[in-house]
This record gives sequence, C-alpha cells and structure tokens, in this order.
Amino acid sequence: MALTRRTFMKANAAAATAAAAGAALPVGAVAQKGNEDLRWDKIPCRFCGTGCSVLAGVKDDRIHATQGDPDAPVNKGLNCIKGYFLAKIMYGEDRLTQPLLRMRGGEFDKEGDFQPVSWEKAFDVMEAKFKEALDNGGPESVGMFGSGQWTVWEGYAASKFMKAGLRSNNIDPNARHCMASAVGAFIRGFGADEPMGCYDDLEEADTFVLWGANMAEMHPILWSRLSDTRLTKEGAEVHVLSTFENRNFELADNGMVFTPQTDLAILNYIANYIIQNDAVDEDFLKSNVKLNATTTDIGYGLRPEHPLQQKAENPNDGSFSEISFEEYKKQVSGYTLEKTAEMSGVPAEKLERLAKAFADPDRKVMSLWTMGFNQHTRGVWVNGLVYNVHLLTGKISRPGQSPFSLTGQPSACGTAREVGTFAHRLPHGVVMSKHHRDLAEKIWKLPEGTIPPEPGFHAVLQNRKLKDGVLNAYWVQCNNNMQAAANLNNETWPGYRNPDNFIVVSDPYPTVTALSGDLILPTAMWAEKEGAYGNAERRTQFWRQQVTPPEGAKSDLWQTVEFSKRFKVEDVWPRELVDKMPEYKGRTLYEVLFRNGQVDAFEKQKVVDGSGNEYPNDEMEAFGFYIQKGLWEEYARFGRGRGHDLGAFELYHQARGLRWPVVDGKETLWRYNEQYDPYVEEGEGIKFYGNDNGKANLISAPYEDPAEMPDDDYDLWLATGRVLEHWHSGSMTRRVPELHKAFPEAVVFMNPDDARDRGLRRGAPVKLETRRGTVQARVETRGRNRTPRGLVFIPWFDENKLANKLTLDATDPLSKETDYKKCACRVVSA
Amino acid sequence: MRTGRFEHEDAGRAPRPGENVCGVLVRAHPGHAAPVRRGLAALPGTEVHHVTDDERLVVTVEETPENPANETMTAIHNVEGVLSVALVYHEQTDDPEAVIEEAS
Repeated sequence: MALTRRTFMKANAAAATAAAAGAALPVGAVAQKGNEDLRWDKIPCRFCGTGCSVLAGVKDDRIHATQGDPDAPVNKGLNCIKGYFLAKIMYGEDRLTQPLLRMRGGEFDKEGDFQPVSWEKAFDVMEAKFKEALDNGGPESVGMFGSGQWTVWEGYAASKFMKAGLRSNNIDPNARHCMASAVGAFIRGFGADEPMGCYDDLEEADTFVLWGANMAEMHPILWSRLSDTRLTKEGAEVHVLSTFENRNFELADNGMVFTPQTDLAILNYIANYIIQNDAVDEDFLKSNVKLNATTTDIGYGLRPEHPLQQKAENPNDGSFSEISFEEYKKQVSGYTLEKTAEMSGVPAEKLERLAKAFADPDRKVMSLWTMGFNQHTRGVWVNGLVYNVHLLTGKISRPGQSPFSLTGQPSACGTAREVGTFAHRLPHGVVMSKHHRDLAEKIWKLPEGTIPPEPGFHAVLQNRKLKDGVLNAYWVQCNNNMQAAANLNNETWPGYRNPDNFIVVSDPYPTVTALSGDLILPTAMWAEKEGAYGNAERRTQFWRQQVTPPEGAKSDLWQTVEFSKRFKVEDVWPRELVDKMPEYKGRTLYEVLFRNGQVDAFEKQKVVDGSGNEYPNDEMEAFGFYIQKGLWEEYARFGRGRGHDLGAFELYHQARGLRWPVVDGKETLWRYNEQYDPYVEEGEGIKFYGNDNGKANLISAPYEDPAEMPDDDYDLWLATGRVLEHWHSGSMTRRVPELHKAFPEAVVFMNPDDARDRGLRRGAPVKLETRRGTVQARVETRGRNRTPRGLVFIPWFDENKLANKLTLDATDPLSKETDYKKCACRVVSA
Repeated sequence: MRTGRFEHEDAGRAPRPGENVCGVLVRAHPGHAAPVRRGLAALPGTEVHHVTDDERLVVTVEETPENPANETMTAIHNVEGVLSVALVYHEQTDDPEAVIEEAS
C-alpha cells in the first residue's frame, strides 16, 4: 500500500496533538518522515493580543501547515480555533497586487474609477497631494491612521516619519478604539502603561473575575488556561459579568448580567463592602496608595456643539485631587447592596458573593477585562475603579493577585502603546513634555523644536477633521476604519469623500475602507515580512519572513520609508529649523530619519535560523541594510534604563518572546514587586515607581449615565462586538472559506420574549434602527449569546451590514475611545 | 486582480476531500471522557487517537466532501461533555492522494 500525503498529514496532526497533551504516540516516526519537506519556524499568530506562537510549515514558498508552538509559554502547543487555517489569510482570491488610483482620462480624479498604476505613479500623485496639503494648511492638514497590528518597526518608522519628518502629530492607531481607556487608567493610576502582572497569574490565582470580556470566544487560549485552573485547583471559582450571557457563563460559578453602565456602581459597591467589613489592607494602603477623587460631569467626547457637551459642567476634564480615607469612605457609602442590586439588575446575593471574593484575604483574585470596560464613555474611570478594589485589598503586583487588562490586537501593546503611535505620544513619553521631546530629538539626531508640542488629532477627531476639510491628505495603514468607526455614515464617509481630501489606503485586500479612498496600495502581510509584535503581558516576539509576498505587494515598512524619499527637509521644515542643523540642508527625510548612522548601522546580511535555513528579507534587500534591526536598536534606546528595557535584537529571534523590562537578558514577570522587578530596590517591597512619589493613585469616581439610553422612540439597548470565527472587521477571516461558511453574515441576537412581542420569529429579516442609520439582518434568538430583555447584540465583522452605521460616536472624554457597547435602538420587521 | 466587494461565492466554495487535516485536543468535563469518545466517534472524518489520564482526547479531523473540517470542529464543541477544544495542528494540500512513499 502506498502512503499518501493525506496519511502523512494525519500522522503529523496526531503526533503534534499528542505532544501538546504531553503524550507520545507511535505515529511519531511516520510524522517525522512526512515532515521532511516542510521547513518549520516560529511566528506569532496574526490575530488577537494573546500572542500565541505558531509553527509555520513552509514548502515551495507557501505556508502549508501550522501548529501550536510546543515551546511557547503563552499557548503551550495549543492554538485556538480562530487559528483555524491561519495561513489561508494570505491567499484570498481578491488579494491586491497593484496600486489602484481613482482616475479619469489617465489622470487622478476623485470621482473616477479605480485603475491599476505603477508604484512610481502612485507615489507621484501621493507626493503631490501631501505637498499641496502641507503648502496650504501646514502640518495640521496631513495625517495617518495606523494600527495595533503594525509590526513594532512599522509603527516606529511611521511615527518618526509623521512626527519628526512631516512635523505632524496627526497620527493615531486603531488601538484608540480598543485600548485607549486602559492606557488612560494605567497612566493616571501608576504613571506607566501596561499590566503589572502576566499570564502566569492564570495558574497562580484561584478566583477569576471577568468584567466585560468574552474570553471564551475572543481569547480562547487564555480561557483554556483559566478553565484548567478552575477544574484542577481546589476552591477555584469564576465570576462572569456581562450585559448578556455569553459562552463564559458555561463555566461561571457566579454569572451576572447587569444593566449597561452599572459596572460603575458595582465596583463602588465592592469598595464599600470592603470598607464596611474591615477588609482593607491598611498597611498596604498606607505605604503604597494615594487616595483621590476625579472631577465629575465630564461630557461624552462628542463635537463641542452637541447638546450633551454643552450640558456638561466639566467637559473633557481628567483632573483629580487628593482626598482623605474618610472622604473616600463617604463617597462609596451610597453604593449599598440594595441600591446596587436595583441599579444593576443583578441579584443581591450574587453581588455579595463577588464582593466577598475581593474581601477574603485568603483569595488570590485576577480581574480580566477588554472591550466591555474600554469601549465605555467612562472607560478610564471604570478601569480605575477595578484598580481601586485591588489596591484597597493589596491584591496587586503579586503572583495571582492581578488586575489584568487584556488586549484585542497582536501588537496593541508592542506597537501602538509602547512605540507611542498615538497622537499625544512618543516612544517614551508624551509630545506635551519638553523633556520627552528633547529625548526623542536627541536620540533621533534632530534639531531642538522638530517635534510639535501639541497633541495631534485622535482617531475620532481625524474623521471629524476630514469631514470639516481641515485634514486633507490622509494615509490609512493596516486597519479598516470605514467599517470600524462609529456613526460612519455621518462622520467617516463624508470625510473620505470630501472633494478637498486625498485618502490613501494600504491593505492586502479591497476592504470597505480601501474602496472608500482615492489610492489603494497593495500590502505585504504577516509572514511575508520580518516582524515583531508585543502582547498583553508585555511579551515581545519576533518572526522571520517566511514567504515572499505576491508580486507587487509591499510591506507598510517599505511603503513608509520609500515614501520618505519624496521629501526634502526644506519641503517640510521651516527655515529656522533647518538652520539649526545645516548639515541636513538638501537632504531627504529618508536620509535624515533612516540613514542617520543608527537605523542603517547594520549591514545587509543573511537571515538564518538555528538549523541553517535561510530566510528572505525584502526590506533589507530594498534598502541595502538591516533596517528592522536598525529601527529596533534605535527604538530600544528610549526605554533602556527607564523601566521599559528591551533586549538585543538577536535575543528575540531565539526566544519565544520576553516580557519587559528585560534587564541583563532576564524578563520581568511581576512589576513593582521587589522579588521580581529589578527596578525595585531591596527592602522596598512594593513600589509603584511610575509615579514620582512611588505610590499608586486610587481615584474615586461615581456612576454617571451613558450618552444614550433606551426611550420611547428607541426602546432597546444596542451592543456591538465580535464572534469567535471572525476577527474584527473580517478582512482576513472572511477570506478563509471555512470561516466564512461557519459564520457567513451578521445576525441580531435578541431575547425570545422581545422578539415575540414584536411579532418576530427566529430567522426573520428585521430592520435595526438607531438615530444614525439602519441595518437589515436576521433575528437570532438562540445560540451562543443570550441577551436579556431590552438588549440586542450585533457583531460588526460583516461589511455587507456595517453595524457601525448604527453606533454613536460618543467617546470617553479622557481616553477618546468610542463606546461601542451602548446606544439606543429599535427593531422592526423588514 | 479583482477589486469588487467581498464575494460570497469565493468564500463559499466547496473544499476538496483531504484538503484540510486538523489535530485537535479536546478536554472533557471531569468524568466524561468515555461518553465524549463515543460522541466523537459518531462524527465523520474524526478519529480519537489517545485519551490522557486527565481526560484530554487526541483527535484528528479529516475533511470529507459532505463535512468540511470547520463544521466537524463546531460539532465537536457541541458533543455532550466537551469542555474545550483546541486546534493544535493544521495542514492543507492541493493533492491529498499524492504518493509520498511506496510501502515495501
């Protein structure tokens, strides 16, 4: 009998799976033989912020197989079902391979049709449009919208190009929609971004509390680690809070469905319970915490003329001031069990059980959250309130005692947050600080005053400024904001189609955003370039370029750096700035930013793995030096010695990622704790060194209403979100036939009683209407999401439905992150 | 190169047999490994290779014309007693019947 490819594949699959389970199978030998023609190398998954490592099996310049990386501490050989057919995301039928420009009669025309052009022609038109905008409106009129999916060096190069090159801070990542509230609370509370704990807490803790995080579907590998702990550790328990029942409730010991926005009340109740029951860790509080109260009635981040903004007493005010413990006690005292149960709709005994878990000194509590907290008009507040209960009880910065903000994108931390691609950020610091600008200008070898001191336009403001004609030349990389932005018909689309504006979109596929722009640039993705991502537990991971991209597609790194050749410093810098460094006269931005003796410090070389396999590196080939390494080493200078130490470039090509700060080649598991963190001196115990006083800020904040609530006209809550099969806007997962078939279109999840009241059967076509727009979809009354009466849920992956026509562009006034989880809608028969 | 909107036909094409083979690790609820094993045996293209002492099952899923691998894996989630399903391995080929080695 002949052995076929299929037989070998099956043997491979069985052997790898057995190995992941810690068992050996006799089929191993067969698998070895069948594997001879595949080259295996590590690469982090392209999807969420968990940061699973995958082994990619390459043959004939194509990925044929993937498996969970058995040596990876994050996923330990497992992969989630979102990793189904991961490699197939690169091979969609409609992959873009040529730049496309809207043209009529051979020339650019905003109203023309997309036609293929050369890269040269594409950059010619783009250059002319960016220079025209700069001449007419200055640096304020150009902008870039980037991504938490950029590789570290792509985000770094883009940020440097915009902030130092074009001298515009109008660069923001789509992580604004995702993580900005978490960042805001980290900065306000601890003076430094990102979690103090790590994924090891999933085994160290015995009590898990999910606050608006559907881990079972969105972070399945972390969920499987949590489930293992729950099932194997005596007394372990899981509390789940959400505005509707999702798959996490299957494992929940204490499942709680609460009325939207009342998480603010629940957390204050827990604080009240802790105080009333003498469960405050007073020593910890005294040594490590400063008590504060935030300014209230801060509005909803809407346009200033919006009535809700007009009504707010302190719009956008993020200030807070010190209070005494007695004052704090008084502030939370109104959140009694009875009142909170009534506000939230959660039975009192369930709330009390949750509060007891925090108050019990013998329980190790890990709190986990994602978009339920972050996409919230009081997102910074509610993130802060969860720190408050951990700070009151000292359950922080210790193994298993861990308030943990999960991330949704593979490099929301590594790129968007750490590199600082936000409109107000720099790699280490903020543009508003002279000290931080000086540091950046020194490392970048630029004249003093290059970086503008005012924050640029954040994501939501970019759309408003495009619509208003203030922002005119705009480059979108690595995201799909026409589908992702709230209230898109009224705020996003008009800006992209504003005749005053020129919109460039770089993407592997013709997304809604790409097709709404004026020039589309075909992008090389994921395994088609050398990359680095940083996950939610501060772990930085590298990969080598596994395959060559389709002919004509170029990475975002190449695009940004190549485009920088189109500008001379005199085109973009005022004369007095150029005069400060006359040696830069006549130089291009490419020469000043990327051939500065640092970024180009490492010569072209072979990329080889430990087994001697050789890998391509298209950018090194194009520019003639090891640009990824040069960018990395320049970038790493910002954080070394400042609490954000990154290791040497080569270290990451060997390790399965390392968690910063990486000092003397050693990673840090629990920050601010003397036993684990090299920045805390012996005898200091816990020290929150991000703040000058070494203390964390507990910041009291009350319940305030959301921007929009159900009323007589729009009688239901609308929440948007995701499903297991599709990642974000579906631009990749919908190109995988198997995933598309598994969940082909968005449906409206609705309570059966609400459906019956409206005369609707399961599967009936309905119109989902808000004050912003209408979407037609079918009703789903069963399945994975079971909504309470009065709330409907729609996923937003489906570009044929565009759920964000419905949502309100109300943001957290402090973080500027949109609340996608709460607005008012109605459902009528279609 | 096509620049139209997302096409359902592209995404919905039928797989060829054997195009996808998956290795899947299934965790059973405590005490449920035996019924889970029986439940999995009833699913087409599915084979249980091993059951660990802590009730995890080493499973392969082969695609058949009637049963795309993804649908089978969704079905695994719905087998009574299954707690979690993790994909460990995936391989695809355009030619599943290609002979790798002639057995002697």
